[in-house]
Amino acid sequence: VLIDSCISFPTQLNSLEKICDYEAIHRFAVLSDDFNPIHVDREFAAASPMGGIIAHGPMSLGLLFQAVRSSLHEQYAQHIAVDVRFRRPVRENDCITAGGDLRAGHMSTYDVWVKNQKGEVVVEGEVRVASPDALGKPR
Amino acid sequence: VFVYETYEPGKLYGTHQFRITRELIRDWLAIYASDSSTDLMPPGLVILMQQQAYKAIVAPRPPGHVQGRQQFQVHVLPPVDSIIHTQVSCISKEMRKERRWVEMGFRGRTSADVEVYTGINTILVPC
Repeated sequence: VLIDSCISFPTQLNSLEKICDYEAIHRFAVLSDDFNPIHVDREFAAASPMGGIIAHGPMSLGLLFQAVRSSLHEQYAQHIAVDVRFRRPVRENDCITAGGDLRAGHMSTYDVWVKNQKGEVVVEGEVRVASPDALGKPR
Repeated sequence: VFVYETYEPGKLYGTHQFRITRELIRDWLAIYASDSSTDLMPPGLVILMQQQAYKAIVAPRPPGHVQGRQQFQVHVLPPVDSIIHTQVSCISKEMRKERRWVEMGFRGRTSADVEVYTGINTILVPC
């Protein structure tokens, strides 16, 4: 049992949007110390197979963390397990939306996603909300 | 140079220190403006801890690494001015459909040895 049965979580996480413009991508590059030219050099990125600048994958994940935190009481937003896969690149000036739905039959597991403005999934996976003692350890 | 052949499953590669400062949280909020700001770190900062640790410890690397999957378990949110020590290790590596996948493990603790987070990055590494 992860969470006391008297606790109920929202059936949906708050959906949060972000425009991944150059300024935001560059800020994330500074914070993560990741200046791969595919993220910050327009000329290099245009000549690459991507055909233009793409955002750092974890930048989408940051929005997902924020969606979880804004949806749950702080007590529970502190103790989460996140498992996501990166499905598509996020391009410069894409507007991404992060959200999630409580999995049917589960008390505290959300199917989560980040989508671009075309509705394409760029990140998907699950978030489990757990008590501190119930998270367990990775392999 | 870290190429696929270099990674050794089971090997601990080193530890990276990450200080949680108000300036860092301010810069985080400049990207994620509505993330609430308290004296505790925003949970998403574990992303930066993990990324910075990987870049600092697993170096030098050829360009072209691609993130495939990320897993995190956040155990506690430390306060501002904490220093988080992240251990970086290789968990496994595997060739799948001629692609070279490496799983890297991360374990972040405070200076008082309180576990803050654990994580696994699954990374496609270049030839």
